[in-house]
Amino acid sequence: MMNKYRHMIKWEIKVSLKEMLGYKANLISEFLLYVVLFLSVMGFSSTRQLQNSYHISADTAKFLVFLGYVFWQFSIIGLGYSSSSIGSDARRGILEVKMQSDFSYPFLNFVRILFKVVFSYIFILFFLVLSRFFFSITLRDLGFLLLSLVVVLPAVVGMYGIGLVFGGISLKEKQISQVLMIVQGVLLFFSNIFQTGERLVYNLIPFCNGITIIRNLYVGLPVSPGQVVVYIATNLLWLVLGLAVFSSCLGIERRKGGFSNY
Amino acid sequence: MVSLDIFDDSGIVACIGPNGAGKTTLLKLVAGILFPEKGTITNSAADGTGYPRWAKRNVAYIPAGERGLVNKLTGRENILYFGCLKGVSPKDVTEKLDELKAYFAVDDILDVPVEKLSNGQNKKIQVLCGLCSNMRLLLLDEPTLGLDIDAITSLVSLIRIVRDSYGMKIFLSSHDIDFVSESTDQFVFLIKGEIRDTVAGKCSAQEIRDAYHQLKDAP
Repeated sequence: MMNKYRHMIKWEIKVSLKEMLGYKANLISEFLLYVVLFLSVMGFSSTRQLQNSYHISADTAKFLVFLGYVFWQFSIIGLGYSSSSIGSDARRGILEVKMQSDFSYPFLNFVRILFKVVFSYIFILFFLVLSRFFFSITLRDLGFLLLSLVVVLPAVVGMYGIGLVFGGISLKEKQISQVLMIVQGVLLFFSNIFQTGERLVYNLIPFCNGITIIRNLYVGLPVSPGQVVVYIATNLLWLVLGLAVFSSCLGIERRKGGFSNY
Repeated sequence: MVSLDIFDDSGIVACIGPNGAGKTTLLKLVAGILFPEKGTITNSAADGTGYPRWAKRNVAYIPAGERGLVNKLTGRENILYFGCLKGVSPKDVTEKLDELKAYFAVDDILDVPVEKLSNGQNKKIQVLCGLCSNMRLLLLDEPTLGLDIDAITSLVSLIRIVRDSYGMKIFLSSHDIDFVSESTDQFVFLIKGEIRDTVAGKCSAQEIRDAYHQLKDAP
């Protein structure tokens, strides 16, 4: 039984890697988009509010902005990739193949998203080198960047849940990439990447508490267990909601027969 | 109600009908890809686990054209990936592929990305995806779509091998009367979502055409 899952995960990773490296223009444009976003966030964001809130230097504040960017970047993978891969699978007839699979579609998709997160980490490490233009980097910073990969996981799960909601909608509406871009932008500016905050809406955005947790750890402030519980529970709720909406939409489309007509 | 006995003695069953009759829908329902809007699908072999679950483990649906293959993977990788999706171990898939590849004459193309293969070569890979996963029922949707005469001839002999040597059941839909006449043991005429008639045994292309027009024009 476990072997079955091991083989599946191995093959999903292999297929993801081959497809990612196979479509070179797409890979390069994705990388450039990462760079532009990174430079925008690091170059134009004000760190004054973070400096005042945490009583830290400008250099440290810049690194906190960087950590926020990393969280947002990983999180939007969970959001955007699920609906875009559903559309792509449907157009190529792969969705039909996966509907016949012994594994659930959300599970197969999640494996790919985790792969994408890990792969994106290579990009992020590259950005860390670029960051030298903005602030000095220590070994401790590198350690926190690695730690952020663990702390971000609940946020990826939560964003994947939101992605499944949009994925379910995309089964019916087909093209929703523009809507997703708007949502991603809104999340970027309403999240606390640039500023700290404790508003209720931040609790609902999957990665906001994660950003605060990693920033507190970085500057040596205590992390309240309540915040960790809220962070994990909110994201699990998003996942449950996403699975429910996606399963419901998929069930409707499987009865109506329209999900393969992209 | 649509009632079909696919697991009787007939190895290859062809579904024939005009565009929009519901052939692809019927195949996808049998594959468990689509769910019926009304009613249920039952199968005596499903032994209480429910039809969709049974279908996942016993049925392989091969879509029309070249859909359903991952372009950046080779033929062999596609076959292994399909097997994994069906929960079959790579070892079992490889053993079956080693057994079948000579019949399919695919030694030269197995390690080539499918995006570089012809329609006929891709069709072989698609059929192998289903066969190497040890499914009991293979569903072929318009298998001759885009194939040239040589590829169709090759496909006819391949599905006969599958039927005769492996006892696998094949249910296909096609507008290619010559192809179904040569390859099929039973004909199901589907008109406006209803099975109007089933004919067992070999039929010539002309006999199939006559039966089709007669049933299609009937009130």
